[in-house]
Amino acid sequence: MKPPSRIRLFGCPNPGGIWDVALDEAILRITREAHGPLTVRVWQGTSPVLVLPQSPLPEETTLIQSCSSKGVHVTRGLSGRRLLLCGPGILNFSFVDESNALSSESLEEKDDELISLLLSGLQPELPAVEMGFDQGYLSAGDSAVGAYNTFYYFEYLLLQGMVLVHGSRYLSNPMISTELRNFISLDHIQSGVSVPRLQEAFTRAILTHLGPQAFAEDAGAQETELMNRLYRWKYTSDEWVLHQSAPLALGRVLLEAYLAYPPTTRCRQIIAVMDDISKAYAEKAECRIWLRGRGLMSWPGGSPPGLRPSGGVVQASKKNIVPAIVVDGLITHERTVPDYDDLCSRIEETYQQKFCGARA
Amino acid sequence: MTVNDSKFSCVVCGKMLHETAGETLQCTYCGQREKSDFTCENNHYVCEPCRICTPTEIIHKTCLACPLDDPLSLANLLMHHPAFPMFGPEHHLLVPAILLTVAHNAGHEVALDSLLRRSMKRAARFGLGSCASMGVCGAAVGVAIAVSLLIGADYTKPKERKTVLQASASALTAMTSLPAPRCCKASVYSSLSVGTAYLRREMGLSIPSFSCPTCQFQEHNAECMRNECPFFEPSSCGSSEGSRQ
Repeated sequence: MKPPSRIRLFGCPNPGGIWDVALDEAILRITREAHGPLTVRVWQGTSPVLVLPQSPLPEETTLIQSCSSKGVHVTRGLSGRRLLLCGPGILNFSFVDESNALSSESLEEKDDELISLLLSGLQPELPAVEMGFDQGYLSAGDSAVGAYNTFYYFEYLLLQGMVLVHGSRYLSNPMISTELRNFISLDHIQSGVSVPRLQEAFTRAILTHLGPQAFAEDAGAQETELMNRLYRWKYTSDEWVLHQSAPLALGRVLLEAYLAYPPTTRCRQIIAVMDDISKAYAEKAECRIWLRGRGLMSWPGGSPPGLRPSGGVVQASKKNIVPAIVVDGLITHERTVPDYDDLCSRIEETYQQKFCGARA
Repeated sequence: MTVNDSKFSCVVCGKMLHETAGETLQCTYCGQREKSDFTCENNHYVCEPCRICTPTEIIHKTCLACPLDDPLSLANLLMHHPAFPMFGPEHHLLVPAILLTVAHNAGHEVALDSLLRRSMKRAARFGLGSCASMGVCGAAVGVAIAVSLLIGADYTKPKERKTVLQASASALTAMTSLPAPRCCKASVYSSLSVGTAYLRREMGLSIPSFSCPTCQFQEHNAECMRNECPFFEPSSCGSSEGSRQ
């Protein structure tokens, strides 16, 4: 495994909680954009948060109500089937790294490498416990003490997880304990264990074993800005938390083009218009170009993991509308090159309607 | 995000495309000659109208223009076109059109244009998932459609009717040996193999036969059954250039 050149030690500038979940995705997106190296976070949240898995749980509505009544915030994670918790008494961890999405190796091998790295750091602090992992669970002997989920995004992955260190307060909530049956808190097996000690041990292990290439770094301005947008438009929105419907673009209008492959003359004109728009409307619009039969332009193989075309693009594909322009999921131009000014006014109009009305 | 920033690969062979100086090239699909923009080192060129064709249009145009009598090459050419997804009922239209075209190109006199239209109209009755929901794969029925049109069968002609029923039965039987779940590419290869054997045996047409070709889509099919599929060839993984899917 290549040595990580960055370790992030609690770089969240906001008071924990759901912000931490948003920060993980911000780190993922920005690391991927910059083709950055392995980034690791270990932290203890300041307020309790229940992170629902992407696949809805059977008793989810009751669980959300039960948590809300006890002051536990609820949000939804990006993937997986495991329920995660953040908050006091819980060691949270996340890894952002290149995945095996573009190679023939098994995707799970990378997960296993990262979890092994975590356990090798924690194990010295837990002499009475034999830690292991299997299918998204971290175990101590026969009991589960933690869980993790992996989200694949382009050629990167985000592995998020938790270890219940002092977890009794969470397991005393009947709804949470139902979802986390077979879980026990680590302090029931190992006396004297604490989150800061585990956090320290893990960090020390990485610094010792991986040498000077690893260093601590706080979240930068770019990550903080994206975290704020993710927090506002995704992780605290009912559409995402209750209905698993991700926002098309975070506080921006999504402009998509569905073009022929290879692009025809008309399609190349559209690419030029999209290029101008992406420069002029960087703050208000996010542009994506999909090529028929190929997927996202500039991505080598179809739809990249973690990013899907909007409903409008799917519709254009099914009806063979090539080229098509899609603004915020709706087809606005069929088989024509849109006029630059017309497209600008549609973006402005959509932006005003969507973001300067209800949620301003 | 400009065109110059992006590298495109040839839809036919997967080699990298380069911009041309506008020389006139022949479209690999419809055969039209026009001023070109991109080509690959093998001189493949896809004209602008063909790039935006629907699956029905590209099958029709290509089959009418195609001089090939090799069903496998024609099938791979069409299935590489961007209008063809990895899976979908478009594949049902493909099989009868290809069999009619190779029969025509091998010297069997037919009104190809009209038969192509009729075959695709018939094949379009079998929608997505008809294999599991009705027990008849549209690609297998495609063999029967082609046979029916070639021998002029209808339900009042006992011998021809029986022949058509046998054609679909043979194609469906061959398909039952393919691993589940569905793979439209494997179904096309299997059906064409049965259909080609029929044209050679019953109609005496001299067309290239094939039984177990190597799938050209295995690398881009996330649901590929790999070693369980008779058309999978491990050694060809990673050998194709570009990023066809």
